[in-house]
Amino acid sequence: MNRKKMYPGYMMAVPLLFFGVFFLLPSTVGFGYAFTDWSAYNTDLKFVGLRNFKEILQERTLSTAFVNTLIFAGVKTIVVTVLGFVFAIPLNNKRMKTTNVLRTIYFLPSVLSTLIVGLIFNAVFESRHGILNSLLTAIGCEGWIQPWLGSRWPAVFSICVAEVWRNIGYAVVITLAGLQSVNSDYVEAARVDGANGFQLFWKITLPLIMPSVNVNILFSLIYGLKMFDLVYVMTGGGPGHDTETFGTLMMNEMAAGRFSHSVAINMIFTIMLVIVAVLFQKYSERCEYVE
Amino acid sequence: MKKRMMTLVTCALAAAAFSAMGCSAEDKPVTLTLYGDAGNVQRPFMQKLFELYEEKTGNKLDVQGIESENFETVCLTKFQTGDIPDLFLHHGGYSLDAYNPAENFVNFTDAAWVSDIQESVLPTTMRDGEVYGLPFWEASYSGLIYNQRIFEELDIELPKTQDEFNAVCDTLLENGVQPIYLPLKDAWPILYQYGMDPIFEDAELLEKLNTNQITYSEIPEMKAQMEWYKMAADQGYFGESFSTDTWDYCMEVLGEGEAAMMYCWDTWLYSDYDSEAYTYTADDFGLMPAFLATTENGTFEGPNCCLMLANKNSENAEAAIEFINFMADPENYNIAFEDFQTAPVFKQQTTIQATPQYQAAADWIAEVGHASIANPEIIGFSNVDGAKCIQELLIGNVDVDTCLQRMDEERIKAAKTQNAAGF
Repeated sequence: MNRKKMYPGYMMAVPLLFFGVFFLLPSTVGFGYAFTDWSAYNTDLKFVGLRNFKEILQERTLSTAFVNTLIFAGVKTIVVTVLGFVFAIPLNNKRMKTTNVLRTIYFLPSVLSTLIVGLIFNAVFESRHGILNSLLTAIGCEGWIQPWLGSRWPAVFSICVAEVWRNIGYAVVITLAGLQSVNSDYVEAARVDGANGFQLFWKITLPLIMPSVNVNILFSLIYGLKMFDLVYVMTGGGPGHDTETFGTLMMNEMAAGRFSHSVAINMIFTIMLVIVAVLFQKYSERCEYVE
Repeated sequence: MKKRMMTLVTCALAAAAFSAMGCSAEDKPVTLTLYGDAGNVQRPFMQKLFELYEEKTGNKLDVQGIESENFETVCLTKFQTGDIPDLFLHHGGYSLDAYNPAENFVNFTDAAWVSDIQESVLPTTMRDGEVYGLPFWEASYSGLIYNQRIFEELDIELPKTQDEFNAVCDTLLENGVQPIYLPLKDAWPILYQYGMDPIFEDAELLEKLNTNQITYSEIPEMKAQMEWYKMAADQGYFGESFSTDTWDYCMEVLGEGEAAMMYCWDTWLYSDYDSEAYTYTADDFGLMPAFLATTENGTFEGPNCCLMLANKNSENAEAAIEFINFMADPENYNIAFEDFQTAPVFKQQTTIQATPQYQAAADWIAEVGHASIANPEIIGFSNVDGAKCIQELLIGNVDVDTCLQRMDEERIKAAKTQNAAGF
């Protein structure tokens, strides 16, 4: 390591100070409220120990939210990562003249706000004038018609579709960047050694672009676990509480004025996210090729 | 040239200084902040009154409409942190107690305009026997709005009992018309509180519920209501797509005659419904009681007025009181409500018209009408939280008993948060 190329430690001071004052401090102080009886109706806060956590763990909607959150995160991570590859590989072909246009098209949904994406997919999945049901009618598949947002699993499916559509652009761009950084010497050498297409991909390309894939997976996982806005726009956590996530639960508690409950849910959720992120970082490095 | 410029600039500065001196502190226009539900502050009569006030007094109103779903939380948080507006638009009843009316709002009990309020409306303005706000609002009557032309075409007579009502729904179904449009997805338009008014008109029962001595699950009429909802959904009274139906489509579905009825309030037909856009106009609809199986003859819900309250601790308290007095002036409210179709809230209201639906059903309303009780008086009541339980019932996630049990849990949880005694 060339120490001359390293910045001195004190250069970290200002960013650390900002990070501490504007993020770390408010976040940790905020978590303190999870141990109080803070609500819209309580001005004199009292320490209540773990009572809020106990009450939250007894909430019947918590298990639904937990399962839904895992489904959204899992489906999004797998589908977005795989489709990222599927769309990025043709774009990596240097002979393809429409690469830039296609890359822009793929990335377009990511530019739209979640509200807009939610409204678009509401229009697709709604029962009354929904595009999907109209299409199914037009092609004679009336048996497939159903209220997509009107019961749990079809609604979960619909939200997953919208979320994947929204995020595919990021995955394509990151994977494509990884593909373009692969040194062609490795590929050529493997070809000379008689590797076929699959072997080239599996043994050469994939290990080399694993850092990009890991970034994709980590982002998808974390943002999937944090799923809130799209659910809020498309179903509001309903019907009933069928599509609740940790995000919507926090919102519900906040809206009901139970602020300390909301903070407590957030704390549980943050711990869960940190564990997932740390574990992922630890194990994903093993798959990366080190030159 | 330079000299002339200097003279001009000096003159302009002098004129500005004189005009500033001439404008005393007393004449200085005041900007009053007003918090209210986004939908409520947008009501046409409100907007008209705001314009009139600004025009006549030169004062300004900083109207901040807060999204309905989070209105209570946002406002309670603002009040807690001392961010209390000069004016506050809020419903009366129990929910007002959270804002500590005695400490925060001007007591208008001795105001001259109190005697101008209709006797039927006056109780909605009071907490603990004191008047805290001006009911500058429409007096709507709620029940089921129904398409008179469809009823005539199918030779259907207006039902007088629950059984007759169910028979009407069956007849409509047989003739290919969806009986009721129920925007279940939005939860609040289920409006199940209409059926609860006759139950909790019994003050003793209400007191028991509000002190946690009884639950919904133990009240047979509540069970009957949930059973009826379930039966109606299973029979197809709410159509096939009720689980994803939203309020946005109600005009289209009613206006094109796809559905014949909807739980609603009479003034909606003239304040929101777009008669020009659809086959059926507002005048084609009538008003009948809401049949929800809690009472044999159905029920109408009386008005639930929003109140304009003034912050007594604000530095603009005097201007806020003057604003409310301005609103209560018959000359001004008659301009604001001109041609608006509603029943009167004030005794000297001369420019309004009662809706044709109200006029036609006036005797019926007198017979089976009930004051709005569930929403303003049940501690911990939330029409959205309860409606979410009904959503689960109607899509088949839970049975009637579990639905009621969950409604109780939600209500009790909210009551505990509000530190209500007995919970």
